[in-house]
Amino acid sequence: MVDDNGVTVSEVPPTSDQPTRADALMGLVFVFFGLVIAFESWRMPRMEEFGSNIWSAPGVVPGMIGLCLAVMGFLLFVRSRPGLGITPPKGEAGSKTRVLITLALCFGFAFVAVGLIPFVLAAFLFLFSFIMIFDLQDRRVEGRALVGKALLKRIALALVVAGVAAWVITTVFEDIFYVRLP
Amino acid sequence: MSGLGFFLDALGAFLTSPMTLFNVAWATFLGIIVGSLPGLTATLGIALLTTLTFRMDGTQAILILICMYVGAIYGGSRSAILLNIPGTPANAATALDGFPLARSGQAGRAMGIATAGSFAGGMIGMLALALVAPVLGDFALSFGSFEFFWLALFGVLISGQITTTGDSLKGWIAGFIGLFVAMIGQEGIHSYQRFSYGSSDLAGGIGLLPALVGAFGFAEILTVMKARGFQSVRDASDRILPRFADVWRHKRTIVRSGLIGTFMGLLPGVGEDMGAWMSYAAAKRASKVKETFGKGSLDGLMAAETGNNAAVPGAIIPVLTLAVPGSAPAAVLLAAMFIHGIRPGPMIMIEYPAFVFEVVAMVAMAMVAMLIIGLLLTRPLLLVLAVPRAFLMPLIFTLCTIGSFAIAGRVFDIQVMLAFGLIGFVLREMNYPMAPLVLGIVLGDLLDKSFRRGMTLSDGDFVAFLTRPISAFLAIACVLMLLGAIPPVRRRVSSLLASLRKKPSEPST
Amino acid sequence: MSIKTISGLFLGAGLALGAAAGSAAAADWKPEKPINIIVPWSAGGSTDQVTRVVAAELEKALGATVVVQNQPGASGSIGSKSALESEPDGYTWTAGAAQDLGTYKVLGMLDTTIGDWNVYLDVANVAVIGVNADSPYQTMDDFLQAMKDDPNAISVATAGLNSGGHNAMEAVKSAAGGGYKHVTYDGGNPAVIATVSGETVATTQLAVEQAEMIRAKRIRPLAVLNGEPLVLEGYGEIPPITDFVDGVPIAPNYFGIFVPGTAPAEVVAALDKVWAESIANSQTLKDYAAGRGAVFAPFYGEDAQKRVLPAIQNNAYLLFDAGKAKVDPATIGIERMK
Repeated sequence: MVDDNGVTVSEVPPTSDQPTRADALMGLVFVFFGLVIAFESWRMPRMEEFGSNIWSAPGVVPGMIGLCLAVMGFLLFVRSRPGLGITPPKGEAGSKTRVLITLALCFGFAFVAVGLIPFVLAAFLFLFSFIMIFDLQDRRVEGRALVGKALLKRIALALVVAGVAAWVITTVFEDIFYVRLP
Repeated sequence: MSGLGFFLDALGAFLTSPMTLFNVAWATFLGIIVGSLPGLTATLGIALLTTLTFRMDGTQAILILICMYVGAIYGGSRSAILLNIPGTPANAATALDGFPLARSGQAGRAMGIATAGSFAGGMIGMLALALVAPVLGDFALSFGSFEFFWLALFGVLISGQITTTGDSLKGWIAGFIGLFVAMIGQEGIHSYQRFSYGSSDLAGGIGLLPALVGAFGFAEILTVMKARGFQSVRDASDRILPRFADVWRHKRTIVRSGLIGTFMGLLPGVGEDMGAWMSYAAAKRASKVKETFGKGSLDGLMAAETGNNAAVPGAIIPVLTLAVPGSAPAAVLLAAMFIHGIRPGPMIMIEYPAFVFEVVAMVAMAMVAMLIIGLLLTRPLLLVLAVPRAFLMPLIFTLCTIGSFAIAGRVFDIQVMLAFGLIGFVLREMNYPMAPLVLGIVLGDLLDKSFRRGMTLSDGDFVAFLTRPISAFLAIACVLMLLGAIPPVRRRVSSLLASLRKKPSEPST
Repeated sequence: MSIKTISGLFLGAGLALGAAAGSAAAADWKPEKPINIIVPWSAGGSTDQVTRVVAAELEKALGATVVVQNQPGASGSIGSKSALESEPDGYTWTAGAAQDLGTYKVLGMLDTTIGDWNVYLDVANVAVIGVNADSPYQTMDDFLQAMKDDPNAISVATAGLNSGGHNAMEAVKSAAGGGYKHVTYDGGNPAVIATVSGETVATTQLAVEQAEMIRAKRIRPLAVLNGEPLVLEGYGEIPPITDFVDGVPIAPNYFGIFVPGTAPAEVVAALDKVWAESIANSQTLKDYAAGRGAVFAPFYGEDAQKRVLPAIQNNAYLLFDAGKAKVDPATIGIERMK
């Protein structure tokens, strides 16, 4: 089967992604995180006073996991140190703003609105605002911005899609899967 | 042998009853839908149908549940290929090659291959179920705490290695984060609440599915929305029906993955997901073009889908012969059998041999239905690719939210989904693969309990983990994988191998 | 003798714990939306199975949809909490073993006692001491002797610290002396399998969970933790523990449906009626119990409250003595069983 997997790896040249400052920093984060886990595991009761084997204590395995994580974090740090001075190369073209808007919309829906207002309404508002914000922007970027009547048509489409989707999803889950929505 | 007679009898009865055919069709279709929606899984689908089919005759009810099971495990491949969001944890390996194929305009072909692989895998598992179920069931008993510990560790390590190119460190870090996540909450040996700090939500543990939906679903949405310009792909596959030659080329992969998948299905506590991962790892190891894996390899896609679907009949084997489920959905199936007055167990071959072959016929029906419906659905599903992202992504997010909630009716699960989406997005931006993290959550509990239980059994003597043949084998595999990741060792071994080229390579176990 | 123990207990514990069920002649309750039964364990377990059988019987009797929802986690306390905190409209119930629901407060997991619930029982399960068929222990006497001679060789598989299996083994140990090595598994089924495969010598899980392996002669049953023998279809009679040791506390493990005490009186009245008329005569449930080695137990109201008490006491003090309790059972009205 896969007993000598190490050999397999050797045939592929190590194509590890360029070390970056982020990797070195994350290495330190993992060292810290792993040590915290190990420390917290150490504080857990050992259960010896009830005649249990010390190796069955709750902290044994998480402690080992924490230590492994710390060791791997250290290796990552050591390996990526040359990258400390290098500013990470820009990844795929992307926009922080777009991520932040997406996050705001998604959290606003799933974290705030669900449970506060009826699910179907929350879903409708989320779907409609998401579609409007990004569809219009995508079209602007692609140079196909809409004006006048076409814009109104697009808004109407978004309204219909959001309404129908919110209603269908809610009904299917409530009446077919018997989920009691928040 | 009379087994064939029983099988043909059952098959004949199923095929001549229009009601049965109707049930097979809708249950498989519903299964595919359930499987392809993020958050809804085979387990949930079967549990739901158990109640709905309660008043039906036992045979029809079990048939419907098996169709749901088969359909759901297969259905998860659809969202994995089209959206890079595996519908069930079992399809995470499918996304590795399926999604790149879809991005290169071959979504139809990829879905065809996935369908063919699922069908072939199911058939191999079905043969094992029909021919050697009792033997395999007893073999599963040779896996005890010591073996499960190594198997869980091996699973996390191999998944970390596969999902990274060349260098496994980030994959393993992700895997160990997953293992840690599984440690949160009340543990099963002393009922101690680990890392929960008085929160009753945390004491219940981090659910696998909300974490999966977050790390794959929400994180993928963020990735898609991040890009300024977004090229939606059109499907350029010339055909969606898999060519026979396309499938035949992968015959070795199919047989190998089918056997591995069946075997993984057999083992209690490791189910379809390990079936897919182990098959994928084996296919990559055997492949002459390893570098294509993860970039749209048909062989890899075939291995993953064959492996997870072969695990379905595999998981049914111990249900029948030992009354022990091989996976979570199989556990519900077992319960349904009990509810309908069928008593699986070691006596079943003696007491009700006809029922075993009836189940084989049910699996056959479900597989054929999956093949037909799956291929029919391919064309309409391709339309998903044409939907602009501004419309598609919020819809998927709504499904992610409601799916996370639906699993247990807890608002906390929605928060878990959001948190893992965020963590997943950040880690993915830094090239950490998500699949080992999810597999770590799946296997963490098994790893933890097997280790502590084994140490209790052996009175604290770790040597006991190394002396039994299967555990020794798995332990060596883990150690070799770790050694292989150390560059000097890797170089030595490869130069050593080069000098030994003429001789056969080292004896393998 | 066990019968006497139980009836003695009933006298001591015959307090009116039952929430005022009030058979107030309310008009028949007609549910107008689906009823939700939260099973606080994962799908496929013993609670889940019996609850789905009962749910189908209830659907018939009440003429309403009954949805079974699995909400596992933290020994069943998460799902129980959801039911406890649900709208007091009588549409959300929970299910499980009374001995769990009755001891969450002792464990500091959930602020509720069994008296806060309307209890509707369906089956009772008894524990069986079973050993691997290849082990040298032929009778319960052999086994008890081995517990004294070499406690470390007697590894016993159970489903966990507050499982019926562990309760049973502790009960045997307290009466007969000796010791054993406790090994916990993820549930009754894995514990039984561990004994079949030889990883442990014995298991003390419920008869339901061992039935098939006993029938197949992979597990040899030595005794049943009950006052009378257990007849298992396809095997024969398993002798009661009382034939071998005196003073083993006997507490059948009752399973049932639990409706929050805050539910409207008409819901309770309707359910009382359903239990007396439909569940008590349900052939499906009787067949299910007989086939699985369980005892049919369609009890409700005060009667049910009294019946579940011994198992709660037993479990509470087992946890207390093992240092797992956050609250002294005596302070919340659970007395020590004697």
